[in-house]
Amino acid sequence: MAKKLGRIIIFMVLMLIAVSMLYPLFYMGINTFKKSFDYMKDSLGLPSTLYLDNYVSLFRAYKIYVYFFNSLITSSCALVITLGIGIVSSYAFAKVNFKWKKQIYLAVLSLMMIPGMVMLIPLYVFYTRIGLIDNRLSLIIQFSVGSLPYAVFLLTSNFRGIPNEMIEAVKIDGGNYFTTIRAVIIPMGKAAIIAMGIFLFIGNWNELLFSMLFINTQSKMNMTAIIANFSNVHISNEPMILTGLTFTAIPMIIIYLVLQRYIIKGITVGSFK
Amino acid sequence: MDNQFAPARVDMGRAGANYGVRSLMMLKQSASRGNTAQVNKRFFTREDAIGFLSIAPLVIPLLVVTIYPLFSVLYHSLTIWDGVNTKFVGLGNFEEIFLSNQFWILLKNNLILLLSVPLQLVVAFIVAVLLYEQVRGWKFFRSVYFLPSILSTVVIGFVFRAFFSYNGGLNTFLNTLGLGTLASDWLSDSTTAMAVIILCLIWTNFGYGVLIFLAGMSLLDPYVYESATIDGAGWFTKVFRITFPMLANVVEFFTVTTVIWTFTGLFGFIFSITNGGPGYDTTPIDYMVYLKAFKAGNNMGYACALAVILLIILIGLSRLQMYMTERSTKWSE
Repeated sequence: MAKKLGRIIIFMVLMLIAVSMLYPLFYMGINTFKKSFDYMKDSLGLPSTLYLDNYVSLFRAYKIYVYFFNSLITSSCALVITLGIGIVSSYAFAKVNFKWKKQIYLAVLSLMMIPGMVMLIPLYVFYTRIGLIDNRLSLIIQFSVGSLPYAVFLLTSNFRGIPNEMIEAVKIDGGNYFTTIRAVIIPMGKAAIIAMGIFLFIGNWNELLFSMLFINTQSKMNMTAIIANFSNVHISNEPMILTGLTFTAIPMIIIYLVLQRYIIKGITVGSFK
Repeated sequence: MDNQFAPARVDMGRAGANYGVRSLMMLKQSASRGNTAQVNKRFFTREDAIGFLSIAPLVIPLLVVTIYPLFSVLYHSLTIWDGVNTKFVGLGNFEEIFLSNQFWILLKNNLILLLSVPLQLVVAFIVAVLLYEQVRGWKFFRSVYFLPSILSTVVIGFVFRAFFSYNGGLNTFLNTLGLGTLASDWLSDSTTAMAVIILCLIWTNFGYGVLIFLAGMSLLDPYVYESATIDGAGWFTKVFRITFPMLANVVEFFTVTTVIWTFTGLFGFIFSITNGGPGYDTTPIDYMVYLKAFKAGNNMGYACALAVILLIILIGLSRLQMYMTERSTKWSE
């Protein structure tokens, strides 16, 4: 009996925490249906009418889809570049024996230690000099190269698990370097590549610092940058800001709901040993 | 070699810095041991060529976009710089930083923000222990707790700002309870603003801790618990005498990761919740780099010097971690 009571209490505590995790999102959601005036009066209650003007003006007046599209383009391009370079070099680190391999590998990984904020100023000046400030290409380069050490780390440790016999078999069949990658490495490392792809996309989509500083023209901005911009302009119209936030968050929530399996596994892949 | 990288493999870069530090440690070790792995390789073989060609698309961009900025920031920390003109001033910037009161305020803010780390650790550990009892729906709970990790820091930050601003949810709640006198502008007072940021960090990050603690616990030997139960150990004894010590490496990993994250990963939160204000009362060092370079007077040399100080703090933390790891392995031997 006491044990059962204990279980119920534990369940209630966990439920309470879960509610407090979801509440801020709920708060964000319900207030998108309120007028600014109603929000000021009562920000906690459910909206009394289904007021959709925030959404309408976000589409009509602010053309939110432009920024949505920008985010989509920069995030996906960077993701493709990172995976392309990452797969090839991780294959080399995992399966090719070349000089100074270990040292180069560790040196690449140790670059993860340097935070973006430390390199921000020289990078800004660098992109200005090569004329890529206010060009989405700078974001694509920065996103893709910035996450390379991380991608190499994940993919290399995964590719090491691929049996050498399979690679030998392809070579005996007369396969070259690229056949090996296409026929063995990619199919065998699929789970890790998918997990990495999801993480890269989420990370790129959510990035704020570079997105905000490298782009000046509004029509070229990413979702996060435009929201940051927007919240300073519309500081008194909280429901409008929250609607913008909802648009930024929804794709990530959908990805999380659909691909959660890969995400949780990607983080906890057993490596305590 | 893989095993030296403890728990999580991927977590949106949050643990990246921690992995980076570990790699640097190992690089130093392998350098001091000498290059014994490759014996008697006199020629530049075909395999060497394949290897170098494969990693060229990785190494060359990294040299341009990471190594070059690193040296640039080190050099320009010794100059007055507006992005175009450079004037060498030696250690002038550092002198200015250390002699001003402002820097110590920034450092104090960093230290206050670090208070969130033990809180996250405690919450994450307790929740993980509760979930480990295989509560009904534990997978659901785990997913919900981890949810903030996939949201942008801007989204989280602005929702927190909305909730704690004067017309926001908290004050409305206090008014409904008839406690309207308690209502205030939480974000314009430095103490409460800091508390809101710390709350936000706990809210965002503890689910990540739960996830890696659960993964660590799943590898513990159930026999240890069984024999402890036979010996008459109670629930608390088991949790604090068995689970916690056995998860020492996971605890260390989470702590180090979160400490580094607190020094380097909070830009989005500070930007959206308080913008560093009131005054500079919630501005940590990394946010000041941004403010000095792009907001307050385009003072890029000074900002570079701050960035270098941040880097030195990170290196100091990693030395501390190395020292701690050595100590703990000595004890366990």
